[in-house]
Amino acid sequence: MRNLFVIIPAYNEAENITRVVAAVKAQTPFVVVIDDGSTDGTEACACTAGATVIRHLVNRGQGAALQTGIRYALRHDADLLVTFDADGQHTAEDIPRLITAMDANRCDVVLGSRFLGHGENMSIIKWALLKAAIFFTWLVSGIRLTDAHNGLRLLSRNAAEKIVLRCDRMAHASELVDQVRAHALSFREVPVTVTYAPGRHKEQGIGSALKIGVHYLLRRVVR
Amino acid sequence: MNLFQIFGLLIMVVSGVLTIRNRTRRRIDRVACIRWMVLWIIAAAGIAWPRVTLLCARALGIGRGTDLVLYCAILAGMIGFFYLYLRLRRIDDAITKIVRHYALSDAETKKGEGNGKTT
Repeated sequence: MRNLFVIIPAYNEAENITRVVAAVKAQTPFVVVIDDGSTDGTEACACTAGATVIRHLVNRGQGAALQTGIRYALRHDADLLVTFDADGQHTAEDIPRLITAMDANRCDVVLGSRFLGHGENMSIIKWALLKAAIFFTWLVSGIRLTDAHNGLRLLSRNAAEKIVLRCDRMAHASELVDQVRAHALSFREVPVTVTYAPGRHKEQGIGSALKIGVHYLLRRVVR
Repeated sequence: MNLFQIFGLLIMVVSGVLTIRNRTRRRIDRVACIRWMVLWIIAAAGIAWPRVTLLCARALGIGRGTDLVLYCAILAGMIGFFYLYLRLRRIDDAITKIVRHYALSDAETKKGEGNGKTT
């Protein structure tokens, strides 16, 4: 029996976290929420829902929270690590599909893809930004994906030990793909469902997307 | 000597004195002290003898002394900005490491106490 850890970075997600933890709990008992300095009681909600809660005293960003979660899971003998967004956009039932894909293909990393699967209620702006991110990732990492910034991923222990996220904020998604290539890790993309509910997500506009790109490039250029 | 030159030189002298004071109080290292002092001396020379900048500009093929000063200021600004960015990033990385270390230690302690925060 393998230890499956689901890592959920959360910042001010009190509204969604209980539902998300409950859904993920149906897949594994090892659910780790990294409360990234929330001020709305996310920690208490996640705790009540039955997750292990690790709290960042101050907000450090999603990349930093993920790396904290990965470190914790590795220390607790995780064999498989799933990263899962806290806003409820992912479907917990997709997790077994990721594991099946990893086992069938004997790969180190499985990336969820909403473009292979289904993106419900996705705005045109979001669609365009995600497509631009795919092109950007292909340009700088040389890996052609169908979805470069999907928060639902499965890492083997081997991959999690090698990948070290240094981009604290949102640029970690491109950095992760970059490290997959750098460490010559094998990967597969799997169709997943992403559901956008109005008002439930922290929308990222063109300004945020540009900021992410600049952060990522600066990290790459100046190590 | 005009009023601007008097004020400019006064500011350079004060800056030099403050730099030396920071060095004697060991707030900056020797290299930084020398670097700053060289900068103040060049700036003071440029203010006291504006012809020096003109001669330097002509030697470099720029033409006007003011253009040389402007180019140097832009270059210095860009280098300073980049240096500050690197410094900020190092501080940022250090903060993340501290926050992560504390968070993981805290989680282990709470797990050990078995206060219900673990699965």
